[in-house]
Amino acid sequence: MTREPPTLQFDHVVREFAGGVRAVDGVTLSLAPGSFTAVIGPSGCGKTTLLRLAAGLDSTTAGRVDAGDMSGSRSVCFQDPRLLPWRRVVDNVALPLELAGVPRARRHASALDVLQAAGLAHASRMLPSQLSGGMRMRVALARALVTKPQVLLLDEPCSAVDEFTRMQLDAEILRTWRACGATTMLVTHSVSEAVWLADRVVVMARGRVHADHVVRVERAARERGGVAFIGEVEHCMRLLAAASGAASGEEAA
Amino acid sequence: MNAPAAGVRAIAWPLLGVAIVLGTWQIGVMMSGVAPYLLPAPTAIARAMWESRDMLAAAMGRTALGAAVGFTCAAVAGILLGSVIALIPLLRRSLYPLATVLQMVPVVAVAPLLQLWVDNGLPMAILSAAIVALFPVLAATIDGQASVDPGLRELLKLYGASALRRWWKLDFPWSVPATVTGLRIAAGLAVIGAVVGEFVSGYGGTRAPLGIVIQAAMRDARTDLVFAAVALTTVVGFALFGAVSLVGWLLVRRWHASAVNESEDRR
Amino acid sequence: MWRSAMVVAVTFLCLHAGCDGSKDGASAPARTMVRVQLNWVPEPEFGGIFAAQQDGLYTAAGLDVDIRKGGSQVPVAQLVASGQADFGVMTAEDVLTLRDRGGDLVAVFAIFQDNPTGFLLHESNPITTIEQLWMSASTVAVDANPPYVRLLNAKYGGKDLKLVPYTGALAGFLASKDAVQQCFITAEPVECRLRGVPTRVLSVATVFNPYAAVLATSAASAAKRPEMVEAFVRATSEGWRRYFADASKYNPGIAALNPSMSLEAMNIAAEMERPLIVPADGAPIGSMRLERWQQLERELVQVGTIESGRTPSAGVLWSAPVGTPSGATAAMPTP
Repeated sequence: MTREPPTLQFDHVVREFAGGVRAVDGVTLSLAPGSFTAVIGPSGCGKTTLLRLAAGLDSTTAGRVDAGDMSGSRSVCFQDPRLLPWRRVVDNVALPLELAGVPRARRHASALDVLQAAGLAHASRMLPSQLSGGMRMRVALARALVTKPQVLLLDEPCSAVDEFTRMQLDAEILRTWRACGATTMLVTHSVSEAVWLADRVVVMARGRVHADHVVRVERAARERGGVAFIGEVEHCMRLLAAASGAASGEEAA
Repeated sequence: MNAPAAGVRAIAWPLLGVAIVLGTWQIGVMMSGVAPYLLPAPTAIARAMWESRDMLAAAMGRTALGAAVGFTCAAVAGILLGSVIALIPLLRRSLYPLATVLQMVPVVAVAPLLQLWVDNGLPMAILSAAIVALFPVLAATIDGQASVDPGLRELLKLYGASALRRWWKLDFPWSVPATVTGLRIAAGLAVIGAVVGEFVSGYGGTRAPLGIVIQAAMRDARTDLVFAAVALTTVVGFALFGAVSLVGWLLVRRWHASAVNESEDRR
Repeated sequence: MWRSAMVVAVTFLCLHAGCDGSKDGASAPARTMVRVQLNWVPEPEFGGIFAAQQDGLYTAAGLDVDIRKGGSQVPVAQLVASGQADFGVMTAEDVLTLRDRGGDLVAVFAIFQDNPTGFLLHESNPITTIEQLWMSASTVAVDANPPYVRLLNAKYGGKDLKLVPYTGALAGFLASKDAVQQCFITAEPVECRLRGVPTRVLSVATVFNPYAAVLATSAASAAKRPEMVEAFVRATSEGWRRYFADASKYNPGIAALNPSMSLEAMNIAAEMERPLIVPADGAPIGSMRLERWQQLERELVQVGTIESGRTPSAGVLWSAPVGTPSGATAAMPTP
């Protein structure tokens, strides 16, 4: 029985740190159920903080984050794979189920399933140290999928790998999203990645949302070298530059 | 270079070093004519080892037993206590400084006191070995569990794991390499502790461990036997250290060393 | 003016004639540094040495004596043989054993003519003879591997006996009614009596009776400075004579150096040790006979400390150029 994924709702969210620094300064966003939203922005714009608030790793100073009813699960993928080095791949992937109390045979089978779907079945008995960086990220993605999440949060998952591996991982992310249909939020500093993966690109700067743009190219038509695609990327980059400029303009003022 | 040749090379150089030291020592003694009770030649020591081999072997067994049992007690106590202290921050703040005091008190000074509470012979050797070996294990365990990768910690918190489950599935396995390091240090110290305990209350006569053999030989001006017994004490230390190192290597070889290398590759 | 200058010059010359080049310009010659290593903490068993020092006998003999206290782990014989101490108090078997191993020691003075070593038991302990003790399963605290233990093992077996190190601390003995430990007849039993703890002593002298404490020095240095050795021995001998004339005069000084033995116990010990130190045949304190060294040598061969056929007793006694240590007693300054 599949449940509907929830709306991921940010309601005038503020996150202030010691010293009065406002990493998130009044963000109101509503991510539609099952949608794929990319959040981009210059370093320090608060996108990662926003994601962590959605993940429950941090709490708001003001405002509310609503990730739907808590019966569904939230999965997070970080910049680094965060695999337990002494466990084999299959046991790493099964970890969330293990902590949820799923019996051994069942969680083992579920883990093998997602590894199979990711084309990693051959690596199931390997240790993380025996895998390349890219493969480890794919294992981390598989782990995020094993709980059939309703909300999927990705915090710059591809920033630590090379360009080619990034493209492979992007394909994997797309497949993952399609497999679980979760409401997905991707934080990235790669504009082309954002455009290729997401329905909607949100531009942040200085803790605020500066632009909110729906990607106008059909998914089927998104070829990285294609004219339409490049046009979208350039449009988003202009939005990004404007946001950064406006932000520094505010600083100067 | 193939593996066997590398292995031979690894042993050959230290052996050569030892041979040079022994040779110089032998020649030096022979040429200077120094009295044997002040500095015996290596040949005299070897002869003493051979002539008293039965007595020395039995003594070595006793010292090894005291050190091994004391080490095991310290290892178990250190890991248990260290884990409890690492798990509860309040305990860490209050007990860890006390543990450092434990290390500062020299066992040589405390041993006569211990004698009042513990039986002579093997129990004393075990107790003083355990006391000396405890702190390295304790400190290493606490440090290992306190230095868990924060990213992994966060991951488990995210999955809703309780503090206890986090400890069992993450902190404890993570700390194994650090604990192993502490155990290796403790192994050598345990032998020293056992011998000190023997100095104070080891059995004499036919039940003598190496510590008593050393004392009796000193009294008898049999310096060659003193050296022989001291050398065997070192052997016991090496053996215990080697055994602990082997077990440690078996536990972590698949993931730890390569984990270190892997993080270097990624940079 | 010339005459006064002459007076000044002559006076000046006379003063300098008496100088002998010594640094402080005084008429007394520089004193010889002498290090004496004891084998235990300061106790009445070293009474004569401390008396000699207190009365200035060493100083008058031109010696600057430094008395160093010892303990159960101090290797006195080795220290003296290697020159780190000029004289040492040690057992006769220490002297012979080290001589056998190549150390050049000579004995110059016997402190104890008879062996004050014994086994200390609580009075409640049913054991009354050494034979019983050695055949029992008691735990006995003794020095590391002394010859008398091996003699007793040869005689009575002792396979059930448990021997542990003797550290000199009474606490262990007082804590357990079954405890047995080595003791000096003049020391631990007295302490116990003063604390109201009844004890029994089994004397080891019946089994093994060498000169239990002697002063020894290295033969080489004795050959080089015989006058120094002679002066030291004579001063020490006089010190012992004065100590036994009135021990209570010197015991406070010793007690000040040893907080673990009371003054009262020291006074009693001084009385108890007198028959063990003063020779019964009227010979002077400190004199030795070669036959007793040879007897000891036979016993050490018997227990295997010395290989048979070797005779370290030959030449163990030092004789002073001016006669034996018991010889000419020149007048000593009275305090």
